Amino acid sequence: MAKRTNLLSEVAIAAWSIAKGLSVTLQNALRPRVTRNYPAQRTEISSRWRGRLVHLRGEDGRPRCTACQACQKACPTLAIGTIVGDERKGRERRARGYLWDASRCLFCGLCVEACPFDAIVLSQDYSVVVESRAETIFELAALLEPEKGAQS
Amino acid sequence: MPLGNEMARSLTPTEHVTLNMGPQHPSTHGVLRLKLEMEGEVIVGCEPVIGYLHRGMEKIGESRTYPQFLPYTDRLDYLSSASNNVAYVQAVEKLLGLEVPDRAKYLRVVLLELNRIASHLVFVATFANDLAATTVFLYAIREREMIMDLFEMWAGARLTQSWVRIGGVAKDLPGGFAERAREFCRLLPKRLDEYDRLLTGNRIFRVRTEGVGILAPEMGVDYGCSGPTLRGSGVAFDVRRAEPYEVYERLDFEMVTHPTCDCMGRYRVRMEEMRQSVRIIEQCLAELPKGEVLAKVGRTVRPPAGEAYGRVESPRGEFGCFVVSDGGPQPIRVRLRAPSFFHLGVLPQMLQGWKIGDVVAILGSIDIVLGEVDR
Amino acid sequence: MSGGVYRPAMDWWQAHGLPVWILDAIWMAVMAAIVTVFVLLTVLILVWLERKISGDLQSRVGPNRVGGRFGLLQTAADALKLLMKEDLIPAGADRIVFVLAPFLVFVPTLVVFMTLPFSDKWVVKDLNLGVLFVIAISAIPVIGLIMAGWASNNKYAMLGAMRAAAQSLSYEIPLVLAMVCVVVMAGSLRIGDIVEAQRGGNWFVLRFPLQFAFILYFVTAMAEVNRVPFDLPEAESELVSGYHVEYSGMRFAFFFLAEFAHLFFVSAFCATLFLGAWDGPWLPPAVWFLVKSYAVVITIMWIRWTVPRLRIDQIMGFSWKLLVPVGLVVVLLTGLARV
Repeated sequence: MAKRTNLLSEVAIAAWSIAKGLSVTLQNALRPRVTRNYPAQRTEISSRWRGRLVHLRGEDGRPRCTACQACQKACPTLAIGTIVGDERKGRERRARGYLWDASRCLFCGLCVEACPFDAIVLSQDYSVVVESRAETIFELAALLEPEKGAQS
Repeated sequence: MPLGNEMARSLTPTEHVTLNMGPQHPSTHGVLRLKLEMEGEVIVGCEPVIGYLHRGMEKIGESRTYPQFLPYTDRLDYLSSASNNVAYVQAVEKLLGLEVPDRAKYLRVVLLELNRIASHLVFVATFANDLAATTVFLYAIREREMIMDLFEMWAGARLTQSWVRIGGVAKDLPGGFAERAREFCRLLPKRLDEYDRLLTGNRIFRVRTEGVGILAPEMGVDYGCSGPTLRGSGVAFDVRRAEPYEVYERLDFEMVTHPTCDCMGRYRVRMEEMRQSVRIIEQCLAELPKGEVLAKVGRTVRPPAGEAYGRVESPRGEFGCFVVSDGGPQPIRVRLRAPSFFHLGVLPQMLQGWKIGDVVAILGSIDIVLGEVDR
Repeated sequence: MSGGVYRPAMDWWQAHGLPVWILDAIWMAVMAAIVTVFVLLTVLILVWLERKISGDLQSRVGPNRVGGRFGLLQTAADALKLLMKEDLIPAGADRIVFVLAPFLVFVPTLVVFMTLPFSDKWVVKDLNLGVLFVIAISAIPVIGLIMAGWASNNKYAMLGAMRAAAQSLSYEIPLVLAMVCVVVMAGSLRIGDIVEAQRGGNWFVLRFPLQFAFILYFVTAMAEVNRVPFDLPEAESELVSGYHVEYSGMRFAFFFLAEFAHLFFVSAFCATLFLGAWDGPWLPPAVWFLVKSYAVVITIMWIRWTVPRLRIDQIMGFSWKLLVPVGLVVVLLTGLARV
């Protein structure tokens, strides 16, 4: 008889544990859904988000980048390719050519930290969508932020 | 427990069947191949085949400068990337003899513990999913999204933050972070209670995990296990207590062990560790000193010749990074000690005598990540 | 049955001197076709319901794009997709058996719907041996499962099929015991009599000791339909292979449809045996029937998305060591209550 009661109490405990679980799922069913209906609803991206590389312009509208190659040396994966500057020397030089390979980039931000002129940032743009491997390499013109007053 | 096969074996000699739990599988946590040798239903042998995710990390380390290798370490145990970062960075800082500012140490601990919670939430999610309690998977991932939001706020990246630097942390906390983190710390224990009601007490879950996959403490220690896998067998070993790093010696938290040596034990250790991590984070946020978050390090990092080993308590166990320097800007050897590798080594022993249905439970309970196994 | 159309039609038919049995046969065929269409529609609805309910329980939205905000046409889109998939028959498979197996699983599930009392006037055929018929026909899909596993030429599909068969057979017995309690209480195997005995709110689930029979039926029904926590035959695919692993496209759709049809059937049968079928105040009887059936379906889905899965030896042990003895005790108690 003791074994019978043991079995009964075990069954009761088991059923109660399942009932507790059911109550939890029911409670959650009554909470609001956490799904965001992308692309109709977009999430707010933090200001520090490390997305696509963007070249910033100085006050005069020219790119700030002086082709010092500090970012290229800092990059772990050789994502920053050839950097070509114009004829001037030192701080007066400005970049004419800049290649960034989005398929190699780790989006780690070491290049941004290395830049002495705050010329590059990793922007909040998270959709780097291309249709062929060749298009993953971006040139300076594509990376520059829009001019002030121009349509984006 | 071998289920009555001795008699059958003695009467009828049978062949062993080889069953392949292939690299593509919904329940191996990553690309792992398990060659199971079975006698009927019972597993008598297991050979894990790894290497499907090998990326040559250690070799890459030899051709990158010290700061450049840091983002690579994120991708090892990718579920808790800060642990890998800190292990590597500790080794380099030991070589340099660099002192990290206090504030940076506290921030590193906050980052590490948030990573620990995130990783353990993935463990709960995948463990429950393997046992068909899919709803818990979605709940745990929902909670983990809050941590991802915190990381995004602070570091700009959700998973592989790469936010630790040689000498400290990349940037300080943004405004509003502390409040959001505290809000999360308030919410998580309540959600963990819900998981307890859904899983821990559930009869079916208990029947699938209690007594299953016994890891004897001596065997665990012999095979080099660590972390919750070992603590679930009652062995009180935690790198945060054995060799405290950052500010762990100043923090008040419990080292969680469980005596039962089974899947349930390991699961309970991780659940309780999440609560302890919440405690740690709240303490750190409260005691955060003012100051710099990054020590002054030159543009090129050239540690003097020597070797150093940095170890951290990652959510999987003791993650170690052994760096050998010859005085140049690049290390000549980076050796990564991954806890999951050793746990995979003891897996065949743990699977002996169990049935196929238990393989999933046992493999899930040791919580491996193939990124660090294969490097 | 059938609300006043049958009688005039039969009179007209007989007035023209045509044999009765032909009209009966045509009538039966038309009724069966209507029920089949109903079942297929129900399956569509059930699949959508499952996805929506699982979404609700998991803090997420289910389908919400195909067919409006509630994704009502999602299942139709899925069915269309399945139709367009390549029809693969594995090399070395037993072609005839492979092709026949889905039918053997699907058709019996459809056939048992003919005995369900959708309302006081809507039964395709109220057999004198209704319950026995249901039990017998419900056992046929097991053969289909074994055929599917065997014909796949896949060791693991065979293993999965064997386990599914073992599970189905071992849960037949407690299922039958639960139904026997109801039969004893009603005094007849005819489903019409069972429903009559519950009219006026005097449902069987309210009469001691049929509450235990209700719970027993509920649990064994979940096992018969291979729902979590008893879904190891399907979830074998998480580890080895389920019995329908080699099936693709429309053949697989048959297994899928059969499972959901069976799910609705056991829920509706549960409502019939224990909850009074179409009995209820002021709503039309057909609506009551659907409400009760769907209530049981939703409860089964709720359980499915909450609890983990049992291992095969635990499933078998549960049936033989717990449910069968409990079933026998409940039958005894019912007999005593009836005395």
